[in-house]
Amino acid sequence: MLKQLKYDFSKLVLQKKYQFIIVVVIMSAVFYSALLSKKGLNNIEIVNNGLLTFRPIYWLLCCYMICDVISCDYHYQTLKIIIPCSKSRSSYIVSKVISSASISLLTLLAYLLSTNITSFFLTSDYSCSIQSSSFALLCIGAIVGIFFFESMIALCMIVTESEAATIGMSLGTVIIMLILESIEQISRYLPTMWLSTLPSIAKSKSGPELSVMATFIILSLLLFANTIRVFVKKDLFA
Amino acid sequence: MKKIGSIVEFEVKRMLLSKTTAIYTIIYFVSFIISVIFFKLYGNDGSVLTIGNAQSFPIQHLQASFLFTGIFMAVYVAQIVVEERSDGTIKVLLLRPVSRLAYYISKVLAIFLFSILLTLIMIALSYIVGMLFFGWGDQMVFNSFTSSGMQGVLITLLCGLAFAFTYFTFGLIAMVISMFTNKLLESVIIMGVLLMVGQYFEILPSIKQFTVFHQMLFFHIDIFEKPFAYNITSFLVLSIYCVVFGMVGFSVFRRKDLYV
Repeated sequence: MLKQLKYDFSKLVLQKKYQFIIVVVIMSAVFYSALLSKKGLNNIEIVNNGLLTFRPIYWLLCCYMICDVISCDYHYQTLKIIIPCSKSRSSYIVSKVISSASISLLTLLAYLLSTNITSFFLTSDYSCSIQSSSFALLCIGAIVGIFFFESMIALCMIVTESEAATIGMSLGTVIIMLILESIEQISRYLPTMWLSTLPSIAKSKSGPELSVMATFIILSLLLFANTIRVFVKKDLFA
Repeated sequence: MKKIGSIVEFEVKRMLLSKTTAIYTIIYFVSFIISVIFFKLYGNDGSVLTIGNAQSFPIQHLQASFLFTGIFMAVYVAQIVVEERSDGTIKVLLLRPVSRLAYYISKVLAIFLFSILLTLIMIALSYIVGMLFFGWGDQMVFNSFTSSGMQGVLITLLCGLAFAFTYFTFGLIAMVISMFTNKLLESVIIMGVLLMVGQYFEILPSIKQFTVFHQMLFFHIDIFEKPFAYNITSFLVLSIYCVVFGMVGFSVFRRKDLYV
């Protein structure tokens, strides 16, 4: 498992495209924060407004990065070479899920930190910078969403073995959720929203939202267990 | 010409029988059901629908499927351009007496047919969902335009043709991008981000008519709402996009090293 993880992480570190994505995200965050600070918004307003604009693009990027990590061995047809090196097929899948979640979370952290730091210096409003507890909650909200998409993407990739079908399904699901976000009554129950609404949900200790979140976590776990079950029995020798 | 016909025939079979098309159909169906639920719960304010009947359902939904159709188009184009290259199947085809021009034309035709197919899937599904939840209704209402019966269906199909043409143009842009990428995912995500960012051209009234994103959103509406001269300009803009990206795509493809 550790060997597989080390291999997946070294691939993430060495592939230039991930560095490129993170650099572009940081530059856009700095630029957009500077733009918002000129409108006279304070630190928290800049972070919140920025997150609102960035969120749809972030989920598209997440889908891309998760699909890329999970479908890589299918694309290059290296699955037959990699699997015997891994301890088991389940550890292979777990490693893919951990590495793709890490790169998605790192992208979010890069965005949040650069927005925070830029707004901190530009507004000179030291009194209302984002609290570390809110910061952690934003990340937890994102992780739940990431985990949900990962479980769906992994299942779709392993069942269909088609990159096109997987990316079509994942982006389609994200777009459906973005459409659903426009309705206020249900937007708080969507995984794509939690990365910006979880701090307020936690503050109000709202039961229904937290129950829906728990349901999504259980659903993700079930999908994930099913993915492992299908993958373990899959004929990869053809 | 016969060779082009054979390749196009193969592409049509592939697009009709692929898992991807089935997934797109399911996603469209889900989005239409969501739209119905919103309309039933919140009326006009919560949905793209202004009136609840099967006649109006397809034509009112075309604009709302901007992101879906754009992404699906990008996936299809990347599938037929990038995947054939990365799988090496393009070599098998080009080793036969098929010129690169014939191969390229067949791909362009396949993109055109796919844009028509997606539009037809959407229209057919919308009619089914509309009939299931609302019934046929008295008249087709589309912005300030009203019609009914067979005339309404023909107008919906005409609108769909205009819609398909704009997505074909977008498909040709995706084709050029696909020429430079080695993975399907890369091409799709570039086009996805372009779609998201492209919507911001709407805040620039002086240039928005000349962007493909504006045409994807409004061309099928403008043909009923705007003056003839405006629509001719829009049509010319789209045609220029097609010619330019079609030629750039071929120029890149002609020089592309496919032998690795």
